[in-house]
Amino acid sequence: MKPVKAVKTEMKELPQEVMVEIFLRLPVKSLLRFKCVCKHWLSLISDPNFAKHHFQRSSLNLTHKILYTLHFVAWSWDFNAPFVDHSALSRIQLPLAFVPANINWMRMVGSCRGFLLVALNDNILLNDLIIWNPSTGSCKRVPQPPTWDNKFAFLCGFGYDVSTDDYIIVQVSYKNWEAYLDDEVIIFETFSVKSNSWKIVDVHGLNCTYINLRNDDVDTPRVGSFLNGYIHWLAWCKDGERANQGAIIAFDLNENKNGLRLHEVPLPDDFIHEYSDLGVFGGWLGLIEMNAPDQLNIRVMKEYGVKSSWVNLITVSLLNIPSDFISPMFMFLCKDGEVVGVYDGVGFVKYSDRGGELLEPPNNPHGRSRFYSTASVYTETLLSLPSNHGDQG
Amino acid sequence: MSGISDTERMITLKTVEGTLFDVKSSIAKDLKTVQAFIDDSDDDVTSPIPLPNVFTRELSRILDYLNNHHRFRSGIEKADEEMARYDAEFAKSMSHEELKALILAANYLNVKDLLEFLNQTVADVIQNKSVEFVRNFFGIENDYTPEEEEKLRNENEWAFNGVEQD
Repeated sequence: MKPVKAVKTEMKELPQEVMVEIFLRLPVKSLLRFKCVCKHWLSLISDPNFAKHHFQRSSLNLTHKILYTLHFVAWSWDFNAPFVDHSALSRIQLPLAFVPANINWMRMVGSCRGFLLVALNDNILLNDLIIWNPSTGSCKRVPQPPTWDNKFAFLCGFGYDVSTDDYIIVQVSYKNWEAYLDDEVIIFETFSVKSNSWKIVDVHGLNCTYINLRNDDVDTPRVGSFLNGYIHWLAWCKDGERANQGAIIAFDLNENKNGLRLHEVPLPDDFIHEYSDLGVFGGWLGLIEMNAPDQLNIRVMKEYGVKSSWVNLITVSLLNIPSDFISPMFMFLCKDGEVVGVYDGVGFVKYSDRGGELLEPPNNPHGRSRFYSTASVYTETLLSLPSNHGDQG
Repeated sequence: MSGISDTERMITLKTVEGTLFDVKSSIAKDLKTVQAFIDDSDDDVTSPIPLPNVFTRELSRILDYLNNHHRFRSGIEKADEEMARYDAEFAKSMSHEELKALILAANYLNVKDLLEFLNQTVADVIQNKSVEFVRNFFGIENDYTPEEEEKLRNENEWAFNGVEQD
């Protein structure tokens, strides 16, 4: 007798449009895991249009993590989770396929919509760049900018232009070291992922009176802060009536608007440019300032462009941190308002948003390891880079 | 000449098993598929509307949900809390099979709010679960070779960190 195949008393599978609605409500981590369920799910989850839809739908509720590297091993940390939660830390594979065999140095120089811009091997030339989505693992090597070999980059930035659905890298350089000393014309270059090419931007109206802040820090390009379609840097007016005064300059990533591509965003009147840093906190442009030897203050501009809207967010005391360094390497804002600091050799600390007191004692899951080489906040997305014509990768 | 207002009109629905349900037209509006049928006909539908894809158990649950939500919304304060409690109980009262059956019915009848709630419920159930659990839940066959699956798992290794054990 022919064996009768057992039939599952199974109702039919849920229709695709329902599955997609369920997928849209899942976090990126679950979706990446569920790629393994079956090939149909793989194609649904890997669809770039689905990724865009998922990103837009989650935009108020994105998962933020910190990616840091320690001796060339990358870790992703869910800093909104309590420190005791061991699953909050995951090792992330560095995109070895794209990284040359002997990298001796790497630094995160931008973060936007789930992508990190990573600079390899050289800090001044910024010739070796990779755009990387640590959640999906996909990455792209950026072709070298076609400018001078001895170029000295002092500003860099990474952002997204809504009008063209394109990711843009910006570098601002002096032609060479002598040009910097002689204060010659600076070069603004942008890279567009869609066109896969660099071009020099004529920043008309900019009198090149801005330079990198902190002259003693000239071997480290200042990383820009992307917000509202602009890349922002702290700069210093070199000459004119505002010589030696600080300024925030904003570069418009949209090249098709009329008007100047570079404008200033007002700093608070009591701004002192020693020991200060620009960042983005909770969707606002913010300043981290060391306003006393043991104190760090974060304040934010609650209304973009409005000088009077600078308000204090949090002041933290550095007294209780047994660190060899005077200040944390990096600071990030949690979604509940607390602030997380990363201290070299000590690990992570969390400060309360009310009084700035230490909420969680220093936690270092790596023992007394020194030298977190680089850290950055990123969001988990499934997004992929727009491809340019003819680019199949 | 009876002066019965529009919201008091009753619609009769018939399930697969032949059970009849009398539904206020204000509730029937939330069953968008039914409402479209009413709009397309002569606005004067008296005979029971047959629902060939909907079983009694599911329609009963859907109407229960809609009746309660209408009640909460028309009430005064505190409704949010009560509604959240009702929703939680509603979701808990069903097995996974019943949950899926209800989604199919709600999808066919195009009951928007309920469908969103059910989709979120399923997402919450499966979010931290393993691949095997999810295959089981949806009745999906694994069509990867062991090598293919291994490769895919390695590419997304971090996403398997901290997953709930079945």
